[in-house]
Amino acid sequence: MGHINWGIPVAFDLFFAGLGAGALLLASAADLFGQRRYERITRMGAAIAPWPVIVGVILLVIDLGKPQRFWELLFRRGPGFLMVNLNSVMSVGVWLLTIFVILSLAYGALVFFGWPFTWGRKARRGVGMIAVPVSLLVAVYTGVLLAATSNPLWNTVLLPAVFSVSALSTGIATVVFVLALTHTYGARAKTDPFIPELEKINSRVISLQLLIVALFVLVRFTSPPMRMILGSGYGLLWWVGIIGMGLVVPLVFGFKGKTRKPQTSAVVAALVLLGSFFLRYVILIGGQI
Amino acid sequence: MIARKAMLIDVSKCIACRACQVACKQWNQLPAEKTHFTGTYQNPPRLSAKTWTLVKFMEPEEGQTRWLFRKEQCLHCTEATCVSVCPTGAAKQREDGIVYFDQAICTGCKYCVESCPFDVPQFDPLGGTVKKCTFCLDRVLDGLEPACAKICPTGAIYFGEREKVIQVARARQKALSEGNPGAVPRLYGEKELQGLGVMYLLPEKASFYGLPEQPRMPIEKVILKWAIGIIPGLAVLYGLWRYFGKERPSSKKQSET
Repeated sequence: MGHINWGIPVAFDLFFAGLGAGALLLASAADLFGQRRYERITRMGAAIAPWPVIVGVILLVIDLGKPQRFWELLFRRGPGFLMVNLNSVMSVGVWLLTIFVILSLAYGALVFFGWPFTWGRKARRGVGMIAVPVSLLVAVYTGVLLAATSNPLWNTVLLPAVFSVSALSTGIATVVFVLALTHTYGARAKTDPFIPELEKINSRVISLQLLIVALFVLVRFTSPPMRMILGSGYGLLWWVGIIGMGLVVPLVFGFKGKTRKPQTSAVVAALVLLGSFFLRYVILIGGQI
Repeated sequence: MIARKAMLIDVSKCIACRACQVACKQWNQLPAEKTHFTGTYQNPPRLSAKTWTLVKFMEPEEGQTRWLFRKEQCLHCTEATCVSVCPTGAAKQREDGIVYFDQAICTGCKYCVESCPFDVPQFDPLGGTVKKCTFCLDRVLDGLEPACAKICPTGAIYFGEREKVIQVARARQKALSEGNPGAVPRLYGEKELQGLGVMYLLPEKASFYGLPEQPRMPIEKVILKWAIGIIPGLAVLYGLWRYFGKERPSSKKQSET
């Protein structure tokens, strides 16, 4: 302890990987479960999903001591014949991220350019079906990576749940944010019917998130690193920024699914994103101080 | 079957002269570190990529006043977390139990640094890889003992085949508890993590020496951790299925539009 080995690039990687996974899960779920009416959500989610994860992977590579050797992480040289080390969440995660990037790019291409062809529509459905479990696993990986270390703050079975639900809510919030921006600055109609719907969904997701974060705080409340975090300047960020602005405000705001000005929706979506980023930041950095 | 190599650090014989620290630096050609006086003889303050072994000084605040020291280094665990979690295969365990990091493969992802139950591997920001004690592998291959064991002036460090090392420890336990059967020093590492390559004879509680009483591999419950992360995700997925599916013809609910 007392040494920050995983710094801000890793905080961004965990945040971006979760965000992209949440966006792809929303896109493929809307496509597979919903009527044609939700095409816009699928398109928006599919258009967003690969890019944050690509940025996250680049940050992860830059954060390596030897970035030029990144391929060693993919093609492991023994022991055993598998190129992935199933005991190593890092190794599994690298593979998941790689598969996710390829899958989400393919999905985006099929959603936007595959529709005129029968095979394109079929392939889109097939890729979507793989995308659901893969995005879920990417969202969970960000938490398991930290939970499977010796760090006294991170090593809890609750941390994967904290990060996975947070990932899904950031994915939905990003789609809301981009939809709201296109209505604020674009030449479209003043409101979008999907914004309040997604806000309502996200409100439910965030209430689950609040419950899990509360459990995490309860379980960890007496542990020295958590006490130190809550007692330091991070305490204010935790209660007001992460819990208050990042969870409670968007929960209440979207609860009834009312139609509001897109500008307001964009601000609230941004609060979800900031809250989720700082949740990861405080847990990541706070655990290493 | 190659005999396991092991080391005994007899804390009751250690006088904290730190010759082992110097010998380690000399043999492994590790540079000195610029440090500041912080009110303790412990120097440098912590293990680093340039300091692979370190005599730690401890004054546990419990009961009587104690002034304790312990030589910290890689314990070459049988159940080595670093070897289990290394994504590249750079962390390797030899048949004789020695755990070392292949510097040509290590990518410096620092996962082992975060995972080691003893906080041993250290990232080298200049070289970009993670480094730690190699049990002086180059010396051991030539039939020599590690540099720290060679130099120790009090005989507190004993190196050899694991069976022999345990015998030596047993004899020492007996000698130390003679006339005081209640005070048998703990042989730390005999069973822990399926047996450590470095065992300690500890006259006091392990936690007083900065060692976990019951070291565990952090990846023990990794399947459970995956599962507990996936469950709320599935709950959200179910919610999405219900929400997006509400206009399905088969749905009992009336369509809104």
